[in-house]
Amino acid sequence: MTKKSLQTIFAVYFIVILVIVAFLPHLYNRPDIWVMGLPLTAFVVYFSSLMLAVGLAVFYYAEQAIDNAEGKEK
Amino acid sequence: MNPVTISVAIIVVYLVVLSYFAFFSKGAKLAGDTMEEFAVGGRSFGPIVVMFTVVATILTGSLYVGWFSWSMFDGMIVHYVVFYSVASFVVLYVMSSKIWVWGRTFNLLTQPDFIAKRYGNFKPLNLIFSLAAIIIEAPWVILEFAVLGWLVQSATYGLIPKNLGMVILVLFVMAYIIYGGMKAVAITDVAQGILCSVVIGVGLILVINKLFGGFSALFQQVAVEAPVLLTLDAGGYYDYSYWSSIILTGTLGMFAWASLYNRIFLAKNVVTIKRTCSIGAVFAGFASVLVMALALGAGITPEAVAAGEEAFFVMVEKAFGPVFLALSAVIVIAASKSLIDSVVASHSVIFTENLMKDLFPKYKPNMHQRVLHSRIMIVIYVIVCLIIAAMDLPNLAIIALMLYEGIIQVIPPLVFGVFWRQSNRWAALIGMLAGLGVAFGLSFTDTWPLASWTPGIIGLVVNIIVHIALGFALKPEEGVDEMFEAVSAYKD
Repeated sequence: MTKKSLQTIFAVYFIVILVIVAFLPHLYNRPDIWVMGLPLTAFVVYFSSLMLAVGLAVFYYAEQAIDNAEGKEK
Repeated sequence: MNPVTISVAIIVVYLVVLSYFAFFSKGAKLAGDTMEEFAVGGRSFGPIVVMFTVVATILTGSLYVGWFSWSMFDGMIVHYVVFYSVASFVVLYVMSSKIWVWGRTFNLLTQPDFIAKRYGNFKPLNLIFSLAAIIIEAPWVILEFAVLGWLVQSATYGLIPKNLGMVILVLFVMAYIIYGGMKAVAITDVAQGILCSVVIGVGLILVINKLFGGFSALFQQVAVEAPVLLTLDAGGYYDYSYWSSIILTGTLGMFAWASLYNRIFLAKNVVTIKRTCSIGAVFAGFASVLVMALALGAGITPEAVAAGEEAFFVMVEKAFGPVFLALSAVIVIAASKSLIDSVVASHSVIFTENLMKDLFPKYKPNMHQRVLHSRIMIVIYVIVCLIIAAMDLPNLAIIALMLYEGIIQVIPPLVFGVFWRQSNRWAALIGMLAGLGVAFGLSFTDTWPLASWTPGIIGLVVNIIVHIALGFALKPEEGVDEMFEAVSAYKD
């Protein structure tokens, strides 16, 4: 995988999460529905934040791996 | 032991420990009398230091006071803080690598330096960004000054009055900024970050367990006693577009904070910045979830509700008594001081490096004078802010939030400047003026047709459209290729 395609994947990942959380609150503003011990509203906000943080960490390590591989090739 | 004695003792111990880090630790000592050392710590710090100092931009003292009580009354709407604190790190990750490379390659020290370099040293833009930096952050500094004084008064049960407490702590902060510049700021932020990790990370989990029987149990009790707190619109009080607006302005608005650039320039290389973001997102998200969840619990705790802005302290004292109360007060003091010190340090440099040079072309100080003048500006700046904070202006937070409507108009030149070679000075200037005109024009319109989309957001959309149109219509800046080539050529 190239660095460019990795960046594109992460950009899409970020935008999808941002759109869900910021622009579609009417879909998950349902405190009457409970998921894993949390009302859906809180679950979506917390879980999407977690997914974003984890995604960023994975993206960082993947980017470093590509950089290192390119460095070895050179 | 008397609770007042406990509080005073803990605050004194905190100040002694902080003094050690600020004045005697090796990391806080300036390696020379240069602006690079004073303003950006010689670009020498690793990921942990940079992470704690960047996190300090997000987890400020106001989070535990104003935002805590807002969430206590209005519920989940305030949990935008959780998402935006993580999303900000994503944006930071993407933008800051280039900014750091340009900072090192072209010896940039401040955000207005970046604007000057990117847009061909265009005076009107330079001035707007120098002034915007002050206008954006100064109200928050004044607010945090007041928070410090008020905290000392609360923690000492009124023994030390607000203004006296504020003056003592602010003069202490001022002393170490003058001594060590951004190096002292960064090192003290680490000390605060470690303390905060323990007290917030572990302490608030214990508080929630003690008071509500666990995280999920807290939500179940809120669902029974005040279900409206679990909605994003506070039971219809807010529109969904308001939720979208505050997430977007919070995430992108982070880049309007000039002091953030000084924090970015502290890093020793690009990998440091990227690692900082990957760790910082988890840290900031975790801490803000705990604070905001406890705020929901405060919403069903009558004595916390009655305490208003002191609710956070009521909750921690209720759980573990005066010692934990004092420790929590120290955390909030530390969070406030972390915002204050970096902003004051950053503004002092902007005054001497940008404003003075733009306003008085004959002002050409040597290196020693530049550092000296920055130190003098710190004293003047702090005194002015102290005087305003002592006036006890009740509407400062509202003024600061209203200013955001205009402030976010500086975002397109910053973002396009990083990613788009076609972005040019006229696109930046005219776009901003158009955005400001729309934002302030709509602010004074009674019949607002777009629900809760804030005028600032509408102005931002206009700003972006104008920027893109003029970006395509006009030539890019002359030196822009050199800047982007510097990024391509950079290797850690």
